[in-house]
Amino acid sequence: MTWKGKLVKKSDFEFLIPQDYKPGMRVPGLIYASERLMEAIQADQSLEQVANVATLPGILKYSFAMPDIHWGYGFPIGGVAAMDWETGVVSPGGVGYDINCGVRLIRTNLTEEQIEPVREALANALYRNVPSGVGEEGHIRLTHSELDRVLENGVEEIKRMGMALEEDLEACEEYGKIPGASATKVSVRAKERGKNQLGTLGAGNHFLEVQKVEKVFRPDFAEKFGLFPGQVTIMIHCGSRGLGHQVCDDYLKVMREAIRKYNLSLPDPQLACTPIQSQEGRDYFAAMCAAANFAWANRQVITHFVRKAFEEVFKKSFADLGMVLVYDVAHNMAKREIHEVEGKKIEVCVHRKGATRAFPPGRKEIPEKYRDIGQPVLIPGNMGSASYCLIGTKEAMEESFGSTCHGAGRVMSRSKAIHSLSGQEVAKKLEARGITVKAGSWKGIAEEAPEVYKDVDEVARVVDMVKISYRVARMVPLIVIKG
Amino acid sequence: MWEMELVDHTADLGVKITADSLPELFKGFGIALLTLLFGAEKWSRSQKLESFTCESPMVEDLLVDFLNEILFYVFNKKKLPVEWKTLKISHRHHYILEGEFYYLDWDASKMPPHWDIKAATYHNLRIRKQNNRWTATVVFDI
Repeated sequence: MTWKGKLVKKSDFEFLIPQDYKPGMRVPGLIYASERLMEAIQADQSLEQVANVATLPGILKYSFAMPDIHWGYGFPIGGVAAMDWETGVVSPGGVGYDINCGVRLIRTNLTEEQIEPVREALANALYRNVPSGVGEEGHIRLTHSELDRVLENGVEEIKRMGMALEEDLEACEEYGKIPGASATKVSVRAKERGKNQLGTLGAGNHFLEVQKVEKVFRPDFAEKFGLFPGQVTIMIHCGSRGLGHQVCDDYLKVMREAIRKYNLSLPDPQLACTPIQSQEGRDYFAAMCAAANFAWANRQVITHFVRKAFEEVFKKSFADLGMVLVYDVAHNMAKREIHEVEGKKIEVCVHRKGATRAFPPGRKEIPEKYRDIGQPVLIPGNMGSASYCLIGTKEAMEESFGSTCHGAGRVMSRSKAIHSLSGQEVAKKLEARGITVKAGSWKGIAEEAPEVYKDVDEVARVVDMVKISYRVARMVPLIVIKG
Repeated sequence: MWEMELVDHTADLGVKITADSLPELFKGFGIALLTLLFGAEKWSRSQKLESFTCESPMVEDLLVDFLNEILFYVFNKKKLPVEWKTLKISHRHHYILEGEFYYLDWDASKMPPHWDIKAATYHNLRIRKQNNRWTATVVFDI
């Protein structure tokens, strides 16, 4: 169903949904896209969702859409909305079910030639070490108190368990432990769903890839991130598993009551929200932060088992293999941040649902080693194309509340994908191009086939052209592990 | 009696059910959810019975809660509610669903699910009654 709403072209890569498009819009919608991407974007109802988000109380400047935007539920995927911390609302729908779904990039000192002779053994070791698939459980069993400590301390707790280095903490957004998390605000059911899932990928679009740096766009920044052409890297894309989903579900129920209590009028019930300063808002924020810490811990445990797999295959320590965490970013989060709005520095709650923080040089939130150049931004692509490492900019800070895109964005529904594509055929084509795929099911491969996604190169080009992040390196897959 | 129809959604999965009554609509969604997860299985009969209650302020919330509760039964209790013996919906201050279902024990290694359905969402959800038939569309988060 094509979207036929009102759209005004602001520049080559910016389109506006005027504030008068829909009653109740408090700000206009702003979409970053090229003409080519816009065609795909208008094929679904995601722009209507951009307009719906613009009606939420306390929203500032614009309801933003990144070039990888696609149809979500409530908020679009690829949406950014910043609310005034004092007068605005927080919405679990603006974060998503998979709280702190995110990406991390690990570099190595290996090159593609060194992978070739052990490719199959490495793929098998990774597939064995990192459980993937629906409802799959991990190698670690946590007691209730251990889980509570993970929820409140994130990667720090994993370090205590011997599965992280001090440098790993430094290379995570929020240092792998967002302040304000409270395990007491996470339900027993959420803990039940998550307690055996630490160190698991899950299914859907989540993946673990061994990649190769195929192109470097900005050698100075790449050097600072330790990246060079031909280098082998590892990308991990996953989130907070069943625990995060249950936190979202629990608080959507709370928010449904809050809508009535605070007399909020919403165009879509999935936008359920509550004033940030209400008890319900504070409770959600504390639970969301706890789920976010769980997600960072999850990606760290996966990193530990990835390092083990490499050690097993290469018979060298992971330190000798140069397996250093470049960075870890969240792309489903609401964050308390300070931004300049109309010349004044104010506290805002930035919802990034399918969007990535892209802070410029100088920000204290960025690890010291990157503070003079800006934050690494990681954009996962699909198993047949490429992923990107970008860098945050001052333009992102000024324009989009320090935010950029998060991936390629789907263009084909999952049901259409499995009816029109064969998983075996997709895997065969990838194998012919030198990409080894290990997945739980053929159907899983079909629904995540390269053709169901937008062109990630075009998405990265657009954010580079509008300067909300700059391309640093393009990585292509060598081994893909999917759920 | 109820009918199921898949609704296209870019990132997720939509299901529309049309039924003769409100309880049938709920039963239809319950079975449709299992169909999405495991395909159109002809489930063997089970004698294992479990009772089920759910309470929500609005009928749409009740449907979302009901479906999310089924997901919890499947993925955490490893029980597949394959047949509803009874399912009753009443309304006082809140909507209340009371029912009993026959279940089969689930072994994920023998029967992996087709989709990683995380939750039923409220996205544009409205339960409508038209010409004596009940209908609703639920988008599931994948």
